[in-house]
Amino acid sequence: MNPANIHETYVSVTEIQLKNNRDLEISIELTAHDFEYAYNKEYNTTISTRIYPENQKEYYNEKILFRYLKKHFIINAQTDTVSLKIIGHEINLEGTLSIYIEGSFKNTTRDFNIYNDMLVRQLPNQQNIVNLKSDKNLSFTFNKNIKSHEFK
Amino acid sequence: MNLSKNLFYLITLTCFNVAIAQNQNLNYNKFKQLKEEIATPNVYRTAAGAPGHQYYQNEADYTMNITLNDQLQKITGSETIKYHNNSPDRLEYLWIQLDQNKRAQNSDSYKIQTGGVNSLNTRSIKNMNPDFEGGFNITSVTNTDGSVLSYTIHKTMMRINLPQPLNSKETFEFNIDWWYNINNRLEIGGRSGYEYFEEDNNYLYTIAQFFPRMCVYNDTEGWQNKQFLGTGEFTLPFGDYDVSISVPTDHIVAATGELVNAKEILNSEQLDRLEKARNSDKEPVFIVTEKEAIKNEKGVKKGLKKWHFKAENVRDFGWSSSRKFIWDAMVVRQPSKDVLAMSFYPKEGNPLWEQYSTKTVAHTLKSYSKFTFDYPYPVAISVHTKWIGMEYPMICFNGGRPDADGTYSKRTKYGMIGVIIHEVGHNYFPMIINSDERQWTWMDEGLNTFLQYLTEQEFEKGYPSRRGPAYKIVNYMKGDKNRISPIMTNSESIHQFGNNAYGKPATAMNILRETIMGRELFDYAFKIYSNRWMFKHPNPEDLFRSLEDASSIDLDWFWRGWFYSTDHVDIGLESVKYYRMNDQNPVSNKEDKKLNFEEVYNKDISNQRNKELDTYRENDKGLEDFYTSYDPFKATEKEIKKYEDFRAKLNKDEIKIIKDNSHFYEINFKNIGGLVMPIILDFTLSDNTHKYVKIPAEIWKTNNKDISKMFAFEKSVKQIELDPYLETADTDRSNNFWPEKIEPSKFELYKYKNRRDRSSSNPMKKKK
Repeated sequence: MNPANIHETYVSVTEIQLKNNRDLEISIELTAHDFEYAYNKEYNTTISTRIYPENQKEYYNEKILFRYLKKHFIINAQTDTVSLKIIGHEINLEGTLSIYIEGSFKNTTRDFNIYNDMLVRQLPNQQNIVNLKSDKNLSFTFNKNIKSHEFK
Repeated sequence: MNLSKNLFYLITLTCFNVAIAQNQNLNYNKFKQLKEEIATPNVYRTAAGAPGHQYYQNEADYTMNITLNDQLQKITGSETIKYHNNSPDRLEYLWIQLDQNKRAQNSDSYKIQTGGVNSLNTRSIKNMNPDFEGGFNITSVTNTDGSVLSYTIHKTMMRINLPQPLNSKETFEFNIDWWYNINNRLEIGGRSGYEYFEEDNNYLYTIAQFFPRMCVYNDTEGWQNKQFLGTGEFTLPFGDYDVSISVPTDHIVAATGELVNAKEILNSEQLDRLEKARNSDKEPVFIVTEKEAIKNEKGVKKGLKKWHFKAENVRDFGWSSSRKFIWDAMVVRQPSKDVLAMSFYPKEGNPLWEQYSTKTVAHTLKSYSKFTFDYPYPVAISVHTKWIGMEYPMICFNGGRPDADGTYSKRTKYGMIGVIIHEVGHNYFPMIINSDERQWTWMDEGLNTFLQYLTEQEFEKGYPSRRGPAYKIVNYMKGDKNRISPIMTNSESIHQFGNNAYGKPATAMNILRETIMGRELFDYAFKIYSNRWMFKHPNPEDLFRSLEDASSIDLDWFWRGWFYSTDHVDIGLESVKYYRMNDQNPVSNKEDKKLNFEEVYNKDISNQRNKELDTYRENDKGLEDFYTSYDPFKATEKEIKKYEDFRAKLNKDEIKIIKDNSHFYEINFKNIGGLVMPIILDFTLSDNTHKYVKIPAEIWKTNNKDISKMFAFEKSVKQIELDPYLETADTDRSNNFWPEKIEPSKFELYKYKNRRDRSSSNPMKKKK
């Protein structure tokens, strides 16, 4: 069976870099096909990509990503919820959707919480890996049963 | 570097060995041989990795009559199984797989799903009380004389309680009648089922795991009757199939094997076209055109037509049927035999399918055969589906559908080609090299994904392969170890299925080929493995042993690290120390000392300002003594004599090394990730030339954690890079450079690359 090329791969990888204990630089990689499947189910819609004429690359309406991540990828520290800003996204020919995000804590911190339940409702085997790089390297894997984790 | 005692004394460095502590006298060395992990060689499987002199495998031949009910989406069948006991053992019972029972309402596959309230979704709620009446309905199990045969069904397994034991070399023949409801693949899911096309009120059936199938009995598992829970796929014996399938008159059928009654089924034009296809090795020939298929799907004709297929030496049988099918074919010529590559697809698959499917099948056969053996079957078929990719002998079901308006993205195109290569490739692993999928997913998926990568790269330069290159597995391997399992994990217990069973083993094979063994040794050994186990049942150790035995490379450390552990690769340049050769010549040594002294003295601010200062001693000769004229930086005669005596003792080679005046670097390497790997270094010298150094993994053999090594160059070194060609899957490259170099993150790369684009995102505004 091939769950990879066309069907769900069930894995996302998020790389987070915490700089100066305040600024977050984030890249999220998802399988574009999985994302479309989950999004369509959740909002009972059909999203499609558009193509940049100059380089023939696919892209989504960014509002879709914003709407989705606002609900499924949340970072906060104590009373400080970070508002995350999408600075762009790409879909490559291997079918990987990369979303680039930045944000800042109001106060400096080393400890924060991530809520990550991307795709797990529609794809029960989905695993969401988050690799954090700050003064140390940490990694955590979220799934349908574990949606929240404190990084410290 | 092999220095004599004399010369070693001359090098001004301190060297010490670091020994790792071995706990409680147990051997934790990563190079420890695998004897405890893998099965002991025996008469069935040799220590060289080949089938042993008493290797055996049982066989199952099937004769089946099947009817498809297109109104009720139901299949009815009766089959005769002829089971040949080639084992040396007496069998009291036989085990049969009832895979459809996975969809029975009381199936374990629903019960074992985990999760709390917060993991609920529509499918999981539906699965708590499934309303689809799936599963086999066994209506009769009889002996050849028609008498009832005793049997017991336990979930997805059925035991035939033999009237008397089946002796070695004996054959037992019996009949099973059955029916089941076909699942809607798009709603319920599954590897097989139907897709309904509302627009023209038609069904497209992709049918597999559709009949009670014999389990494998062998020397490693006894009966492989581990229940089918949905993840671990199938373990099946080889045999010959004679299958008649009755479908609506206007359906077109694709199936495992050769159509033996083509003359009764096809019209004379279709027969002519099929003949033409057998001689066309450049372009596919249509047997049913799109126009004909569209006409076909509009009207429903009454009655049934029987398609008759025969397949020899296959482990399974799959088929597909629809009145929507377009059918094309072309021939693939091989030294040993010609093969018909074919595709079956509805108009919804076009324009992608008519252009790419059959040619991709043909390309896959050519490429895989080069690395293994000539494709031994008469046909290779790709059938269009929505979404999935699933493999059976000679036939596979593949996704890749353009949008309704006939356009498609590049991503859809490459996804489709990739999935066809992968599923057609499964003919080699596990259909012919018939590993135990229920036990080890990686043995077919991993090896197949590896060859898929090679085949994709041969399809088009720069083909966007998802898996294969070492650097693509890095994200997975550096992840949280609580959610990673070793490759050697049973199919049902794997975390991150795709990465674990597909990506990592495929990458491991590619690393063996590119870095550890080299292409020549690897390709030979891999071909040996493939040919040894063609039409047989290999185990993991048969692969491990074959690759070692045919290449003269001890790979136990590689299997241990990559297949039996969750370690990752992270080798770091811990420290770099620089040395020059000092030949102890007192004249030059003291001159150097003088220069060093003067350099510091002249730098001091006060000394600089005091240069013109008139001092007391300079004005009063009475303050002079011995030390006023003594030069501490001048070699004494005694020192010069001692040096000359020493020089006289040196041999020619030693004098040459001194003359070369090399630059020495002592590099300390730290193994942070745990996996031992070769150390590959790129030294950039002061004149910008490069020295590429590759040290085999055995450098870690006595100390798996810290090692140091000396390197000598004629020029000084400007930069050192570890793993310059990204071939070891090193997960953290921030410690791969000297001097330290920070590589930009993915985020930084994107932001930097797009900064310019973003600033000119609205050029109109700027113009105003």
